[in-house]
Amino acid sequence: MSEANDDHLRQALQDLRADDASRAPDFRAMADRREPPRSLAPRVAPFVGSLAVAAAMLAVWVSQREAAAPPPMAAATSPAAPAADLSGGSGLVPHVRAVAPSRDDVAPLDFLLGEARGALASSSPHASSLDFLVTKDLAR
Amino acid sequence: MVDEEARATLERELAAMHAASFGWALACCRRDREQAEDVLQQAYWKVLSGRARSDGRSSLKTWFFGVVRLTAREQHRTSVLGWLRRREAPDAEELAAPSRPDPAVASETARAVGAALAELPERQREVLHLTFYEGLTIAEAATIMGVALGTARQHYERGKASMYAALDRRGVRA
Repeated sequence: MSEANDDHLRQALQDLRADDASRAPDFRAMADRREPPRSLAPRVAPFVGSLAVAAAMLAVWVSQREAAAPPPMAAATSPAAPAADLSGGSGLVPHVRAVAPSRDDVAPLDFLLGEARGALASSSPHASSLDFLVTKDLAR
Repeated sequence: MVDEEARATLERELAAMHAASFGWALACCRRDREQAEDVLQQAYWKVLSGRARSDGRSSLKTWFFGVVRLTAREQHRTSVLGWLRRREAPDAEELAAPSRPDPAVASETARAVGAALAELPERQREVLHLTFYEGLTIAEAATIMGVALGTARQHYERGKASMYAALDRRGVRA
């Protein structure tokens, strides 16, 4: 970096210094304060209030969600789950059933199996493995 | 509590370098004027009440700048509101008028230079302020910053490069 550039930079910062100095607060007003500086508390108080309200709303939401959720075992043994028809002895579909904790989680699989293979390929990131299962199922 | 005579002497010395101290407080607070005033007032209170005392190994200016710097760091750590302020999204008014000048600064060029300085990493901003703005040597800057001379030199060189780039982006020739 050249010295000429440094001189320009020095001049720019000296101009800034002059500008700052012309706007500096009054020294006497600052030095004459004999009590501790203003505390953090008044500035934080509004934030603490908002945080308390947010925490209360979160607690209500969590309790409502817990009350609405079905027991895990009941969901796993739901008679409406149709995946048992698909096992075909492969051993793969029961695995899918085992990790699906509720009827809601199984529902997309129902939809996929009821549609054409094109829909399956375009709608699932696991299309290749499910495709195998559906192909096998349709062939039966 | 320091006695009244010593306090009066100290006050005179602090008053003589008040503008420089305010400029340094601005640098330590990313040029946030409100925070800088808070920090400087806290530093004055610490010194004038005897809570911070010089060990006499450095000049009053070097020592007091160190007090200001530490006070700014304390405030930075404890200010939850400051944490939120640094992360909150700009409001609609700011987005509508991005070039609105800071009312605390009259000169457009000074505003651009101040903004460029404010966006530098902390150490680079500090060393450039102390050398180019305050006219101290790199060694004096290193003492105030509490780093080794070689480290201060590195921040100085990197800071200059960052500052030229930041000024270029703002269309300010330096």
